[in-house]
Amino acid sequence: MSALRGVRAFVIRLVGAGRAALGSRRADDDLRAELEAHLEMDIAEHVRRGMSPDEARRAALIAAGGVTLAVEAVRERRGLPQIEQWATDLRYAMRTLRNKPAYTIAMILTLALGIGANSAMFTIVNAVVFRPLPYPDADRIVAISLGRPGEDRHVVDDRNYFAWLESAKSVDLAATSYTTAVFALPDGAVDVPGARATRDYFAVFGATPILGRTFNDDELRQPGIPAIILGERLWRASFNADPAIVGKSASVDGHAATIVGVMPAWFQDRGAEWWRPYRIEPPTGRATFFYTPIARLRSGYTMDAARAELTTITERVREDRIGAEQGLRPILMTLHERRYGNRRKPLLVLFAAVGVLLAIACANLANLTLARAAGRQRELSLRLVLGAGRWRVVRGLLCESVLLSLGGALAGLLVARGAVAYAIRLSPASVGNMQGIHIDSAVLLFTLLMAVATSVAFGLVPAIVASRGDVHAALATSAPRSAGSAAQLVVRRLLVVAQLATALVLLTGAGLVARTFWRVAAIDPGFRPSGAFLFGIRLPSSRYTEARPDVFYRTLIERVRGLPGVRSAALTDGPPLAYGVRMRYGTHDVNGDTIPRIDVVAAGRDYFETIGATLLHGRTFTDADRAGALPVAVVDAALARRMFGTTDVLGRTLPYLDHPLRIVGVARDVLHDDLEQGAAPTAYLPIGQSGVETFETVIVRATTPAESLEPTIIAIVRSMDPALAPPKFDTMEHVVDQALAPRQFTFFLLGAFAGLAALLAVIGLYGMLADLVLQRTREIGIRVALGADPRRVTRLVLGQGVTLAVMGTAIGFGVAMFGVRVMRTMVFGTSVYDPFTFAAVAGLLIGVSVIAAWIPARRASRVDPVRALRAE
Amino acid sequence: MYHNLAWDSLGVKSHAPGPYCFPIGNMVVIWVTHTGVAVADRIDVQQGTLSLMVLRTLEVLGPLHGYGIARRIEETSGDRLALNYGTLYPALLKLEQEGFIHGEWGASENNRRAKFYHLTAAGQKQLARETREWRETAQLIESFFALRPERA
Repeated sequence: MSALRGVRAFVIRLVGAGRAALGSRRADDDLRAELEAHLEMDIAEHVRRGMSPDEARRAALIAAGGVTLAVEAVRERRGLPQIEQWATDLRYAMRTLRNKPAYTIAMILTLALGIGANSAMFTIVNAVVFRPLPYPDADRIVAISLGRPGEDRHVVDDRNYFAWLESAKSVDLAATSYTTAVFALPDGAVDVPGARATRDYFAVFGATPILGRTFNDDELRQPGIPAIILGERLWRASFNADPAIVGKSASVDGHAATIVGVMPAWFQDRGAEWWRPYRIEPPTGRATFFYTPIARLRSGYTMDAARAELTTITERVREDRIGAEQGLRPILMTLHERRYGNRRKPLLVLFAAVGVLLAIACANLANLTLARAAGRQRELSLRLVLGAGRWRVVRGLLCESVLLSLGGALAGLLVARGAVAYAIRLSPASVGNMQGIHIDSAVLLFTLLMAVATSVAFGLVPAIVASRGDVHAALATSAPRSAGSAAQLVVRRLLVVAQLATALVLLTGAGLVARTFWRVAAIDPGFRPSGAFLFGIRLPSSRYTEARPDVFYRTLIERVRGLPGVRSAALTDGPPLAYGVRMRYGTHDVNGDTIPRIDVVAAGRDYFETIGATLLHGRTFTDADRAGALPVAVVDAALARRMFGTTDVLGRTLPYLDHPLRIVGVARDVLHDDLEQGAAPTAYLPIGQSGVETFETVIVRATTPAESLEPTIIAIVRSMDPALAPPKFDTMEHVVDQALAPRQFTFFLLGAFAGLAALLAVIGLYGMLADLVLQRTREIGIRVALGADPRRVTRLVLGQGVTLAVMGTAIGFGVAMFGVRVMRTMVFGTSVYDPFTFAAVAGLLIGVSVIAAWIPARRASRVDPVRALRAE
Repeated sequence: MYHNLAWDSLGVKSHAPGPYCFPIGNMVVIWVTHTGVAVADRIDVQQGTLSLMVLRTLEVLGPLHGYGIARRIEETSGDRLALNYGTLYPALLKLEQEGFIHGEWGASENNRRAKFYHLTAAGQKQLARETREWRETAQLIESFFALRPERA
């Protein structure tokens, strides 16, 4: 017979099985009618040959060989018995679960939380940590910087960059810097984020334009913005996806830039929507430029080979100007590592935590299932006695677990959807580009695997334990609920101890993260964020040349100062903790020792009052500190101490690039870049002397809220230059919150997971003890009847709970001591072996456990002997 | 307490030789039986050969009901074969599922309602193929029976 016939038969049987499952009786009725006809014809034939009707009937029945059996045999042939058995098991499981709605709902909700949290975390981790960058051969794209052990400068100076560009054979080198520019569009001026691109920038990413071409050498040499490449989104949104756009002109920062190409939609680099040529000046030896290079490994070269080659080249580049620059070596890592490397650890810790949470949930479910199995021992024993295979019994119980898990997974997906949406809202930009993260097929597959794994995890052990029970003992006992076998009790106790132990580990982790968060939140940044807000304004560099930016900002600040409710306003190139470009330099202190890094902040009049920083000595800047006047500086206490060993440094000289500065003031330390690294030695220069550029930030301190002033300020900017894009406002408090956000993200999530874990573990303990009391009601009744002190009964149960809690805590303590090492890089201001945290979480867990044990213990002491004994 | 047991859930294997059990009142009665293929003192019918017999019978006699098929096969075998329902009807169902025969309700010679089976085109081809294969096999086996011990 051809295989096709077999398939046809199989499909028909599948349909038959389906019909049978749906309870269709038509096929059976048909068959019965057919057999009936057969029998009648047979009887008629016998009668025709001369038998009496009775004899004929008997003979026909004998020949038939059992009508019921024939029906059964045909039925088997009609469907697929194996599948039908599964269907039967599933149907039975469904009915069992429907009959216990409270149990079912509790199980599904627990699973939904556990699986949902895991799916949500997986969605995020998958997108941020595992998914490769969206470029061809993304693992061959490397980010390069200079540094030495313990210090990564994130940038490369122009001498090294050019030396590599000229001689490196192992990489295609490119550089970029991210910026914004004002596009004059038909519907107004818009500030659009973009980037500069060197010649090989697009080639490094493996991207080719969908229209036009990339920059040519001529465009890369010209000043201004001779050419521009649009991102697909900008092209679509603001240029109507014009297919003939190439060759047309766009007004970018006031320059007439020729549009030479459009990049495909998949090509995205840090939100840049357009690219302009990156003009790279050969190093002159005077001012130093810095680049953030990216490179693609040429074929045949590994990362190690490239690192070795670049190191050799760097060693040839003599850095003799400042000692601090010596000893720098190229740092190479994949672009993915550079962008997401520091986010991996907290996310993986969170992922592990949520996995542990699910394990604890499973232990709880297993405990519940065991308790239920103990109650069903008689039923299961009966099935075994009646000849059901052990596997069949286990399978039946597993069917229930699988159904519960699938239900939990479905509900879990809903939980995950909500959780991911919430996490995206909660997550700081620094956790990674979370926009566009959604539940995809990988997540669905993961969730399905989770469901299967959990059903086995919480279903298999109880099922096997239950199927092993002593059949005769179970049938012989008269108790409707047996206490379960000794094996079951041991398993349940072990589960509770394991739960408590894992919960303690999670709690310890959460405790450390919480302590870190509070430490960081309590850091004094050196300025007062409340009541201050800021906004940046980009002036088109084509029109704002020479002194024009200075005039513009000066006028703007004057007008803002005059607004009602404004107490002060100041100009700066880099407000504290906000995104900005920060200049740094290295020099020597008075003893000739190297100071590798001094941060430079350009600040206008009233800067310190406006951000709320304190001046220790001397004065702040005035409008008189302008170009041409005596070059002055305000230093912070950190720089004063580092350079002179004292803060009493008024009138002394600060070395700065090629000209010394007179120190006129000393300020308290302000955390400019990072809350946790401490204050870097900082020099404040009057912005009138350091030069007002086309992109500066205005900080305003006001008694009225920022929102009420925003429209007025926008109107002022409009009135001064209608071609400018309206500024974007941000409060200083929000800026500080953003700096705290990554910590907060980890803290909230890990705290929530650990709290849930502890809750589940304690519920597990409570459930086990409550069940124990319920099962031993009779025994307790007898004890009380014989004169046992109720307090001793309480102590008996309480003692059990406390023993388990202490055991769990002790084991968890040991595991935590070992496990917290992975968190070493995640804590701040506290040791991972922080005794306070350890003591607090252990005390918390034991305390809650005692409460959980006390409830059933109290119930046990109140057992009424008469009722307990009469109950059965 | 047995009434709350769902009977099909007892895990009892109901499709193969094995213990069968039915609830009677509050008792559980267990006995053992099996689906026999043919009556013991006659020849067992092999599944494959039975379908060949059915196909051939339908080819020669045209549409027939189950009773007619059984009778004709028994007669042709000289009553050496006896087909009980449990053997015949699963075989008919299998052939129908494979698309070799097709059953339709109709009226018998005595105006009794009966299901008549007829050969389909696929069944014709299948019969031809099986007949050929069977003959070849028979000839092959026959030639082995024809072997005589050779004297050296």
